[in-house]
Amino acid sequence: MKLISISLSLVLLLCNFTTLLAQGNSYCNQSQELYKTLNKFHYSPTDIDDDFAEFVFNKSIEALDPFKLLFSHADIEALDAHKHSIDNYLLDDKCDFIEELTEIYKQNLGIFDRMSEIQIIAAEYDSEEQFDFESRSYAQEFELIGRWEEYLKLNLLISYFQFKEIEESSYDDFKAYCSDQGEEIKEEMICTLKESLGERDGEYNEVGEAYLEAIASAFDPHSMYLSPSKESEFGDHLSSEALSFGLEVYKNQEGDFEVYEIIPGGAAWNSNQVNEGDLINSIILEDDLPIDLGCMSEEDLFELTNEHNELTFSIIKQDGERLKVNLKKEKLEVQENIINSFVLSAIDSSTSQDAKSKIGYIYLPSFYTAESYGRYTPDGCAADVAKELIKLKSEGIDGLILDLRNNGGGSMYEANRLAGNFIDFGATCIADYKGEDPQSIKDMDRGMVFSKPLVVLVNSNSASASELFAATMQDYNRGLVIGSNTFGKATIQTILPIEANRFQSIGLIQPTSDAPEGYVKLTIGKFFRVDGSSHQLSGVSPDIRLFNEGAYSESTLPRALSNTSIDKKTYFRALGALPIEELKERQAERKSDVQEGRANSSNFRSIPLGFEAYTKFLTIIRGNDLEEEQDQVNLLEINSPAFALENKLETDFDKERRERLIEKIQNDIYISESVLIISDLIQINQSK
Amino acid sequence: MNFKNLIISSIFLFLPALCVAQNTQEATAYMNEVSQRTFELEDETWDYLKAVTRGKKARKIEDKREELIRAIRSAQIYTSKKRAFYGNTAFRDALVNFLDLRYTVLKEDYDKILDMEEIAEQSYDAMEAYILAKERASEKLDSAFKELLVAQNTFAKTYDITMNDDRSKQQERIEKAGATLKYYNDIYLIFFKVYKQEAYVLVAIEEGDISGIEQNKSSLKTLAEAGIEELKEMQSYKGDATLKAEAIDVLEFFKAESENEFSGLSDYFLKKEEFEKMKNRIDNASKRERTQEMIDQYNNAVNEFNAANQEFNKAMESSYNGRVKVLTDWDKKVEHFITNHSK
Repeated sequence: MKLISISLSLVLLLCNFTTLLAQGNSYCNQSQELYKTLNKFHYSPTDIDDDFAEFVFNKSIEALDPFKLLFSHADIEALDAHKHSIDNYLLDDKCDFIEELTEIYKQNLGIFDRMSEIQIIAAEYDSEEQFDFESRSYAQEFELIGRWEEYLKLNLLISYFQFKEIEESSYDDFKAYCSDQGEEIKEEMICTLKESLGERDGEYNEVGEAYLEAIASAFDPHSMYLSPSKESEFGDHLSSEALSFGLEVYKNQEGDFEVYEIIPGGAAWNSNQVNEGDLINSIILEDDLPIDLGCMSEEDLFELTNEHNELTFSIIKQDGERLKVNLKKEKLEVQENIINSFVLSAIDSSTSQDAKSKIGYIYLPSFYTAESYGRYTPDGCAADVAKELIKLKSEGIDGLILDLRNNGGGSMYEANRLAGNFIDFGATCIADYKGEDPQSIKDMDRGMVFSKPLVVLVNSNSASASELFAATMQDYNRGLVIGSNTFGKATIQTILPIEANRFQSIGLIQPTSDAPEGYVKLTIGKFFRVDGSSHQLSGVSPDIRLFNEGAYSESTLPRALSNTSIDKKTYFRALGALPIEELKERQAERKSDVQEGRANSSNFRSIPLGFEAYTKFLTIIRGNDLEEEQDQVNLLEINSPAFALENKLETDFDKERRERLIEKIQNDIYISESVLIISDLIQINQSK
Repeated sequence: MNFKNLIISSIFLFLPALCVAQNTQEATAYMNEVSQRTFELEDETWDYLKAVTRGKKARKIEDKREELIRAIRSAQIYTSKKRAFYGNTAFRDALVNFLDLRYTVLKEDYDKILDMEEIAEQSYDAMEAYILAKERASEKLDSAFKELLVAQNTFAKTYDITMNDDRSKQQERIEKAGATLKYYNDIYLIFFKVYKQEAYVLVAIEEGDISGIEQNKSSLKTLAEAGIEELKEMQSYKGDATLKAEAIDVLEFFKAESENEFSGLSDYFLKKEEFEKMKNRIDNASKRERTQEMIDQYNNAVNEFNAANQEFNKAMESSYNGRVKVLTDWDKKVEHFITNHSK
């Protein structure tokens, strides 16, 4: 999945390369601090031994050079002496590995001087070549330039197909594209690579960052090092009140930053000077120094805008007019977090003709929270869902589908509150923090917002807080969990400054926005189901399986924590068992369009570089996306619930957004299948 | 409203008899000697009970409670130092054990005698945990008292002592007031659960927490209905049904409040939120963007929201006035009931 999302959405594969700001060359000292903090506060600190050393060694190199384009076989051999010594370096304050790695990395960036040797020869695209990014070994030094050739080839293919339907493509057209734009794309690629590999600023912080990240991830896959700017990125994702300029940009085909969305109510929206389609060609800082955005990556631009609360954007309007727009960050709702609800009913169903139930549908993309002065306020996602539920109830819905697919989690507090909307009261899970007695987490609001049948739709990207919620609904027999096994993450993280080890306990550490050395997100606890069992590694099993898991889950991650159970008294009142077997039978009788055990074809290990072969490869990937959308028109009638105010002002933006969502729901076979399943559940309940 | 009267009535249990009829002089003397300080606790116990039932100030009640705790402690130490009776320590030990438990319960050191983790887990909130702990402590004290009675009877039987069931005046008064308090406690707990639930709704309103409002108000209705049913099943106290009837009145108010005053709350808060967003949008729109249609729609929304606001204020006022009235009546009835039945 990882590769596909990259190859289809970005021109450059190197988006995973670490790109960070200059922080001085103190990474060796930072690694000591980081290690001490992890060792002190991690839920289950790892043994620091040869295995640990080897993991950090491999992970550091892999992060710097994921596609084996930079380091040669000889480089790796030279570094090999450190492979089983990193554990000792950390304990003895030694910097040998990071110093030598930096030196070799610096030398290897010299490859850019040779890039001009690479010729763009479109005729070569009839070969059987493959871009093998996983299993190949490190190249001999003389082979490296050939690998870069392959890499450029792949970029040209991706770039060509980015805005081209497969049916409209042809080899001749592609050749023309290469001769027209090949050189430009090559220069752009080199420029961006130099930027993201740290060759431009000459500080090579990437090596230190990769090393720190490797150390953190050796403790478990969810512990990570965060540079000061990354910490803010993480926070934005979870809070609905992040400061923002209120515009979203992407790097268009020409390599310019183009505004593709203005967020209503945000700073850019309110300036009345920025429109979608405008190009940003430079940014002017306080000291009037313009920063040219020519070779800047999206990540770097993000970090630059993240650092400043006020910036002047130099903008080129679509008619060629140039203007300078000064923007100050404002609070706005993180767009992906706005919740919309819908009322669905099956238009035509062979088995549910007589029971046309009205079904509420809510998609929750993440468990975001609202915080004020470090204290939770009741304005997070659980409250937003409750508001939609109240609207849906006045529409007279008979059941609800809560869609948690691809919801990677977020705040446990919100997951608990969300569960509270659907259960009376009682324990929802058990949290176990290092050095403390396990404690049960309870729904502290007696009563329910919604008490009718509930279906929770999950997939293997539903992680953490999503799993906690799904498990609670299962344990209480409150909701039917359908879809696939969930991700399998039952660990709790917090973010601390990397020098937190100087404090006796986590409770004593003041939250600070200023940690120049960076932060560590580390695993400080595990959570368990109310019966003391855990879904760590295994995931929450669905009551009804609609599709298979994706290839990526907790159990596939290196050094994931093990599945353990806990002994703790909890009290909760489960409802009567759900008629799962009967629902399964009905689903089987329906000869559903949803085929259980759909092959997961996204697990590619290499990409063909021949034009014909690549076209076939792309057909499979795009076809896979399309397959789920086929023949799905008009299976559902979809309506929005009425607003509370009769005179509600709805903007074009709101309308467009809603229409997009309706189309998405209409094309999703798993939602229509969920409607049929919950309709069956309602019918079975009524016939009792 | 507070917990001043929520007292475990088992602390008012006394040994039923003085050993007056004596067949075996030595054994009787021993028994009297061992129990002597326990009987003397009557004075402190009555002082405390008087303070509670006659509506004394919290400080005064607390002083009396502390005096009683000290007296029990000293009686326990005194008793534990008594010798065995020809090797027999059963009666003495049962009495020491009972006094020890009584001391712990009165001090509310529940974690010494109960599994507080289990109690916390079983309870909805801290208040419910406190009430549940009191119930459990009371059960323990009752059973320790039964063991004491058995030990006393066994000792009497062994040494051929005839027990006398006579009560002192003081003991009778203590028992009477204790029984009144027990009846009151039973009703109070039913009342309190619903009263507390209403407070949760009010907190949610205060915080504008729609999820909390929606959940807690539905629970308020359920709990009020269940409480009314439970109260109806209860007997009058010595022919007096006033306390029970008053409690039903309070719960009827909470039930009606959940159905009337609180019914439009969530809708109001949704309107409020939508209106505020709309206002924000209009305020931030440039003159060029403000179309006549937008302005008309906004003006309509202003009227709609003002009407909703008025409704909300009216409902809150009615809820406040109703609450003040039923709770004042309840307090008066409680005072009257306890004074009347503790004399």
